Amino acid sequence: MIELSDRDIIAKIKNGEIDYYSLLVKKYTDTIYRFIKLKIRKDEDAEDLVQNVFISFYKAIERFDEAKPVRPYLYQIVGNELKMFYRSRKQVLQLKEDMVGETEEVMIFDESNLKVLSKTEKEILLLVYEGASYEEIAEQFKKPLNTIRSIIRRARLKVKRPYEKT
Amino acid sequence: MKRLEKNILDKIFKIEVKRTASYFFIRSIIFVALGFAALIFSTVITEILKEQGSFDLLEFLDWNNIVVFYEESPKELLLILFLVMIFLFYLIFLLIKNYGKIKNKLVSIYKFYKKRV
Repeated sequence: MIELSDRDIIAKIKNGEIDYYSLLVKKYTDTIYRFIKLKIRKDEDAEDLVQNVFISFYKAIERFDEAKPVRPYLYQIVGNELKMFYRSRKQVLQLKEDMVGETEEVMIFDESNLKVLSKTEKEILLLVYEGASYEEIAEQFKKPLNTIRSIIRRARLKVKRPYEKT
Repeated sequence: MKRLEKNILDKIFKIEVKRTASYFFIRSIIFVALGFAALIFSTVITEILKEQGSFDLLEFLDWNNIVVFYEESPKELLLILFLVMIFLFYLIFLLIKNYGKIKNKLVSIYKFYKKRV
């Protein structure tokens, strides 16, 4: 069986052969689900977001240039969905100006740059993005508040890959 | 993970069924409306020309008779009929142009729901 490239699959979908969309779904669901699960602990929420990502991509597929790679575009949609998710649960974190500069940013991580963090840094940063306060994290890790702040600042600088808020 | 993929595809196909159904519904309404408009306008124009006896001019086709025929004809109604026919032919052209795509979509939807049954 000949494996089709993403470009060929998109071309077929644009031609009305929408059953080929299942190939894209099968190819990317795992990676996108794992990526979203790093940020959202609840399974149901993560699954909903994955579904929204693929639905948004399907709706935009007519405008999508099949010459461009699919993966970065999907992750762009993932970023937008995560922003909306956090906003809806009032978990958007206002980044302090002295930490990351003038522009308001929402930090998006992927698996590759989380690898640069230590286990503690990763756990603390994920708790921050799930909405835990610094005080709660300090209590949980039994460390002073200023220590937690320093760890978070260092971790963010290590993984910093900012996306401009549009 | 298979359950998640199945749910995603269920939603995608539901969206596509709604899209395709509304596509056909809206275009059918427009097509019928334009068809009726064309029929009504052409009937009215024919009646007007009959009453005026303008069709007699066409028995002897020469340039003068054609000019008189044109001057006697209801130009506004002819213009509207012309525009209606242009839209109608444009719709038919779009249907022919997208025929392959629509057919593929319908086949895909049929195959998807047949697998589920």
